[in-house]
Amino acid sequence: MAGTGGTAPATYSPSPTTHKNKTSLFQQDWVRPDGRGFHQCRPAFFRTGAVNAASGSAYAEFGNTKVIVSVFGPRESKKAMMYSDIGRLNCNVSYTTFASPVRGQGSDHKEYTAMLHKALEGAIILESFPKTTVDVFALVLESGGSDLPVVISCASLALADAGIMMYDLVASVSVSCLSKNLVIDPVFEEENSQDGSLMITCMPSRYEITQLTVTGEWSTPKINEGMQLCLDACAKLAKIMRSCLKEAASDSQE
Amino acid sequence: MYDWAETRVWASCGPTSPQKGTKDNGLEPTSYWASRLTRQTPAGAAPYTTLLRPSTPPPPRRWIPYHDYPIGTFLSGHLLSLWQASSYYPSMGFPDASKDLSSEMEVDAFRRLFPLQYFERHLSEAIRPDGRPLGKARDTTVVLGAVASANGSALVKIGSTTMLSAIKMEVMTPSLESPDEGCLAIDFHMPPICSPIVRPGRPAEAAPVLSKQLSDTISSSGIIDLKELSLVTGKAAWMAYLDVYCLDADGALFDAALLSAVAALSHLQIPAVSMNDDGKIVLMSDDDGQKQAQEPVNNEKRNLTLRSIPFSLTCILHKNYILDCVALTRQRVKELKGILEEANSTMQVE
Repeated sequence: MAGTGGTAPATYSPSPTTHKNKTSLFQQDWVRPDGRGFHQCRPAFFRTGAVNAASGSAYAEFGNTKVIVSVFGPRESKKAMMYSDIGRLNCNVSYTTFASPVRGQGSDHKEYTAMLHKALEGAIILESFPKTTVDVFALVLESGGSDLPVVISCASLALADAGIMMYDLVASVSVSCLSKNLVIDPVFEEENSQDGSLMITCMPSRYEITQLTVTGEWSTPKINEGMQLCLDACAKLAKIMRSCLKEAASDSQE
Repeated sequence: MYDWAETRVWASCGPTSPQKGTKDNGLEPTSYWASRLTRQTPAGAAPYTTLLRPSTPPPPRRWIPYHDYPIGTFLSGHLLSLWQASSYYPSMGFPDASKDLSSEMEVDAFRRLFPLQYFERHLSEAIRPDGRPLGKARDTTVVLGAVASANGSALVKIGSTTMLSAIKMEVMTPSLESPDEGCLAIDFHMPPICSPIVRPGRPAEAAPVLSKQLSDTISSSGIIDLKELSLVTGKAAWMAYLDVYCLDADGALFDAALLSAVAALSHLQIPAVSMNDDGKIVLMSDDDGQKQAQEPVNNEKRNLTLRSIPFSLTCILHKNYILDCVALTRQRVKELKGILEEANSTMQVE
């Protein structure tokens, strides 16, 4: 590489920076960038068996958000020194350097890792693989908004592909509050200018929630409305995930 | 002749209990003891050697919970599940019920216990385990423009090895020794999804090695002229960050990585930029009417001209099986050139 010398030169991206102040003026009559209604989710695309080297894997694409999740295990883990009569779940979420519009570092996202762990551990039957560990690794190829819900849904598909026993498929949807409006499945722009966000991870068939995350300013009626929106959307998302698994199973039988 | 009902009761008390999935049409004895007790083998009964094996293979499962089988004693169930576990190693296809199952299972166990001899048995027939002849490469596909937000990107699959590479352009001040040259920074990553040997805290050994190999190959091949990456001599030049991510590691990593890096470079489109009043380079956009007064540094989007394109082929030498690597490489280069040109032409049509 010519021209660098000892240290890497400082670079900047020529693209115009996003102006947060500009967008807040327009929130009263916010028009979604992709023309969706406020209560409309992006079309979801799922595919299992994306990675051959893994026990189970899945690829999810929601608009511009693209995620690959691989599941390895149950296998032995050096980290687990002590005997345990239930299995362990080990998660990791990392971003590529080209995931965000401006080039980032591409390192692990510790916060999302912890949240993914919390979302999945309620749904997996840990007693079915004692003394071993199941590794769930996620890589976000492109981040177009609402990343963590997509990662969680994709991870539960990958776990199903790997044959890990679970109580139910886990579906996750988030809702953003933009001044007066509730917007479901927010895009990157909307997330940047939101007043608050509500993310629900639930097991639709059992009507049980494994994780609920609320940030920002919310009034009680708004929270109720947001929760109802999310739960309905999760039920529909779970149907899509189930049909994807059925297709994959029938393809392999042929 | 024994009463069949009685025989079946005896069968369930024997050391080997009846197995799930055996052909049970009511006439066939289902255990070792049952076959010994019945002096007359009924018509259609399978011979002894295959009696102990289920005639229809159960679906493949990674973990066999003990409570799933109707067993008499715990011990017999333990033996049963151990025996059946050995035949459940993940295999891609189901053996036919009509084929001799004993040789099918031994092949799989053989592959795991003695991998070297397994491969040598195949090499002696001049064939590979997946049926390829020795000199043939796996199916290669190149898809350009996989990442929409990057300036140039490519997704390459060689068999199941998958590589995704993307180029993002940023502006830097060129160094004093070469004020009219840009820079190309190549980085190879192996994220934990690609292979069971990579852990989040412990990166794969192959990653920095391949990274260095890639950057050496690309810079020494002279595929691009760094002078094309210059903007304003001495003040601004392009820094192209080329990141190659391995999404699935199944051998021939360097071949796939190099092909995807080269494909991304061929797809790269340098955006149109102009210099604003602060001396910073910004993207030319149609919205800002007042900026048209500035001098456009780069008039329109343009592609890089590629000079000599490097391709690679990985060959393995094993004992006395020597391949003519040079001839194979020449042939492979022609194949890859064709694939790359096809991918480029489909992009241009769109």
